[in-house]
Formats: sequence, C-alpha cells, structure tokens
Amino acid sequence: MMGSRIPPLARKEFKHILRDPRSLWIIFMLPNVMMFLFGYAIDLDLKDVRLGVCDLSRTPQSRELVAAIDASSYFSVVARCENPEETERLFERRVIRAGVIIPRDFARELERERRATVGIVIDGSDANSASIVQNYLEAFIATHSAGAGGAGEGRAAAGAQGAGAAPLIAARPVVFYNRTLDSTNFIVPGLVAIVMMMLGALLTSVTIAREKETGTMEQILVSPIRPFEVIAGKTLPYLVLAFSIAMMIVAVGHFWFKVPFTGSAAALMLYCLLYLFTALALGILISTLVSTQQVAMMLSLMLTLLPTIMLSGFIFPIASIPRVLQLVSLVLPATHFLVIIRGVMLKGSTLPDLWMHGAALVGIGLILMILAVKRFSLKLGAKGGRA
Amino acid sequence: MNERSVVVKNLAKSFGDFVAVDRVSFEVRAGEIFGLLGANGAGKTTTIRMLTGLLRPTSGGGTVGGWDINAQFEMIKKSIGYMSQRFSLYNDLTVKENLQFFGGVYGLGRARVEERTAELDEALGLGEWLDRRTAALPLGFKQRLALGAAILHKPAIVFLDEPTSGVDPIARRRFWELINALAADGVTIIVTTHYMDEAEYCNRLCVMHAAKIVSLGSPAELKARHGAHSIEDVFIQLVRGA
Repeated sequence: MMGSRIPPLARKEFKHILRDPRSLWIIFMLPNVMMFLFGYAIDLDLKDVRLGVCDLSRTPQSRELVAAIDASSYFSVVARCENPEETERLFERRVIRAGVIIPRDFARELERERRATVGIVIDGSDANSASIVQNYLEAFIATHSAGAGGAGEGRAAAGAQGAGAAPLIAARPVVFYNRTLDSTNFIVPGLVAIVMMMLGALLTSVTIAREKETGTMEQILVSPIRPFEVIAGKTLPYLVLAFSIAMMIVAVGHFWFKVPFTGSAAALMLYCLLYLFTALALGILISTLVSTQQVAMMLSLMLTLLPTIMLSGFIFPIASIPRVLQLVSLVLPATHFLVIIRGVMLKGSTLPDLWMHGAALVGIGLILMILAVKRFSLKLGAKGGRA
Repeated sequence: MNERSVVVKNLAKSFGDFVAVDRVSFEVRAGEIFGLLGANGAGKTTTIRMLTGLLRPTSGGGTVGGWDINAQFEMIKKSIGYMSQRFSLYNDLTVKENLQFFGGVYGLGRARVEERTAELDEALGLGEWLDRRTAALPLGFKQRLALGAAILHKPAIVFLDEPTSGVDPIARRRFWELINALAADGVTIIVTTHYMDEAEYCNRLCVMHAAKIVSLGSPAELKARHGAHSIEDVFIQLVRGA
C-alpha cells in the first residue's frame, strides 16, 4: 500500500508542464533563439575588413602587396590615400577599420636590406577585433613576403617584428580539430552548456518556488512524504525536459550550423545527464533561498548566465583570466562540460578521455544536492508563519 | 469519547524576539470539535503548525494521536489531515486529479483513491465538477475540495486553519455540516476561526490573545463565566480586558 510517492509527484508535474503550452513553447523556443543570435552574431572570424591603403612607395613591389591584401577574403581595400593624414581622417570617420601605410623607401629597402617595414593603423577601441585584425594583417604580410621571397622577387619580412635577416623559412601553423578555425564550431557547443545550465536551474527553482508561493508546498510537506521524495518527484520531469532540449540544441548545432560531431552520442548523453544533475541541484538550492517565483527566476539567471558566459571558457580562454577567477571557473560545472562537449563534438573524445571532467561534475553536483536537501529539510522545521 | 486525542503542555514558539505562542496548554478529546478563537496574530496558526509537524516548538511539547510532537513527526503526519489558511490545491489540475495526487502523496493505492473519491463525491457533492479544472470552481466548492483532500486518507485528527475565510454564509453553513458529520464519525477536529458565529458550533473553545490562552471552555461555559450573551461579547471582553 505504501508505494513510492515519487511517481504521483512526477506525474502531476508533467501535467503542469503540458497544461501550460505557452511556457512550454517559450522553453523550447528560447534556446533556439539564443542559438541563432549567438550563432550568427558572435562571429569571431573577420571577413572583408574595410582597409585604407596609403602607398607612398608606388613601385611594382608595393602594388603587388596591396593587390594581394585586397584579393584575400579577410580584407577589402576600400580607399587608396595620397598621404598618411588622409588615412587617419578616413579612420576617424570610420570609413575604414584599419590602415596600411607603405613607406616611400619600401621597395629600395626591400632590395637593399632584404626587409622592409609597413605601418599598420588599427582601431583599438574594440580591443577584441583590433587584436584579430592585427594578427591577420601581420600574418598575412609575413606570409606574402615569404611567398614573394620564394618567387625570387625581393624578400620582405614586414610587420611589427622587423627581424634581422629575411626569413626564407616561414612558420606554417597547422590547426587540429577545428581545421577552419571557424568560431561557430566553438560557440555552438558552448551555447549548449549555457542553455542547459540556465534552463535546468531556472525551471527547477521556479517550479518549487511556485508551490511555496501558492501554499501547495505546505500541503505536501504536511503529508508523510520525505524531502528527498519531494525533490526527486519535482525535478525528474524537468530532467527529462531539459535533456530533450539539450539534444535538440545539439541537433540544431550539428545539422543547421554544421558543427561536426565526431565523438560518441552515448558519451555526450551521459555527460549531459551529469551536467543537468548539477544544474537541477543548483535550482533546488536556489529555491530554498527564495519564496517567490520572480526572485527564483532572477537569482537563477544571475547565478547561471553571467559566470557561465564569462568564466567557463565559453568565449574567453580560462588561461587569460586572473588567477583567482580561474579558481572560480574550476568549480563551475560549465567549465568542465565545455571541455567535454567540445571534446566529444570536435575532437571525437571518448567517454574515458574525459573522465576527470565527468568526475568533477559528479562532485560539484553531489555537493550542491547535499546542500539543497539539507536546506530543504531545514526549512521544513524552521519555516515560520505567524497568526 | 474520553480518549485524549491531542495533549499540549506549555507549548511555546518564538521567532527571534517575537513570541508567537506563549506556554499554551490544552487537551482535546477524540471526536471533539475544538475551536481556537482569536484575532489575527494571536498565535492560532503557529499553534496548529506546531501540532502538524510543520514547525518545531521552541519549548514545551505534547502529543497528537499519542505521538510526540517533538520527535515523532512522521507518525503524526500519517494520522492527521490539514487544511491550510490559503486554498492550496492545484488550479491547473481537475478536481479528480487533485484528489488522485494527494492520494498518491499519502501512499494510497489507485483503487483506494477511486473508492475514497466516490465516497467524497457523495459527501461533498462534487458531482459534475469532478472532471473540471479546479480554477473554475466557486470558492465555496474549492474549500470543500480542500477539505476532501485533507480527509482523503481518513485521518483520525483534522486540523482546519480558518477554513471558511472569504466564503459566503450559505457555503459556510454547508461546510460546517460536513465538519459535524466528520466529528460524528469520531474524527477529532481542531479548527481556528475568527468568525464568532462559527465559534458557537464548537464543542469547546480556546480563546487566544497575544500568544496566550485567555479563556477555555464550552461556548455555554464561556458565556456564563463572563456574563455575556454571545461569544462575540465574551471575546470583546477578554481582548479589552487583557
């Protein structure tokens, strides 16, 4: 007669979800909207950067360099200036995003010294794209001069370094895994991590806060049900929901954004469940701290979105953030899940390859869950109403 | 009828410096309708919450159905029914689904829930509403449904915290008929109210004011003790005098 009390709770929770089609619609649409916004808006690759060129040298060598730059897909030369001042003016009016100034003695220096210097002007107000433009231009000019050297037409080691002898051997970087260095391949798996963490914590914290708000939680707690049964019954349906959403985003990422999927789907699913476990535990913990749905929602968004975007390595490499924050990033579930999902999708990593990050997820999830259940049970005893 | 169903001794609860219930003692017999009467903030709900295991007492203690309220919450929870101040069923579920859910939470089997739903349908007159969403129910009906959910598992003791607030007089009357029927079956009823006419329906009354019990007895005894014609007069005298 005394069967488990988890199924009735879970069944009821599914009914709540299904009877609120508007929320369900939002829950499924939101991740897609985010995917498309991030997938298209955050393009860390530059294409056709508007360039101004001031060729003071006016020699075949300089013209050849300009033509080569223009021919690349990264830059397009939109203005040819008579003097450096004009380049600066165009720069200030934002007609061009970067300027290349080829000095008067470019060709002569190239002949005599076998190296030449080219000036580059970059808009530093957008530091991120500035550094990308700089890297591209430098790399491009270096490659071009190396190529020119190979053709025997005067060799140039142009750019900021201005090294001594002409490099007859240029470094040729080889990129593994994400061969085209396409940032979509980097962003989409990250989005899966963000959306799952956000939705997982949000849905669970709001559903528990709702029962507190409407008073039904009290009606449940006065019954012989145990705290862990309440928690399990209420979160299981959301585990199913969030898991199917996760699979949906991975599918959209793979089939629409053409992100490769080289690893095993089963491994990814297993790790997705572990990751969701941490998100749901966080949601439960949040719900024990608040008494209204609105606060639960705000707290969930604040605690998941910001740290996950900033500190998990989603956009900014963890190695480049301050040491203290690196420690914070270590305890963020998303940090570990990002390594996992990028590994499985892009590198074809297998389940055992990633066991350490999986173990980290289990650890973080267990700690959060223990805290949540403790606080939940504590509330039961100490919560005070007056009348 | 002399079996002691609820025994409370020096029960107290404070929230920080605020004393919500100040060393309250009383006993309730099985099958009795016991009323806790008092203004808002007098300590009625806090008392009930301690007896139902929702709140731990600061000091003092007692038994509910023979179980210790400081230790045997699990046993208490199995033997009581509780209907809170606020309507606390699910509006997006049908009446039947609400009953099924609470049946499940109390560990009743599917067949048993069916059986009890049929019995309650008859007793509460849920009829055509059974398959409707709860949100559509009139308030009086909702209250009856909440009572139904509270007694689904046939508890020996039922706690009702201001069960009729906001309900019209006719619906209130019907509600009290149900309570009387329950008590006639031997169920102990502990009910809080601030409606003076409802107080008259109780077998015994405990008047609370500022966290303390200021008078206790049957409605007739109270009226005689304070030389008043109605419970309302008794109450006003007690509150003014305190």
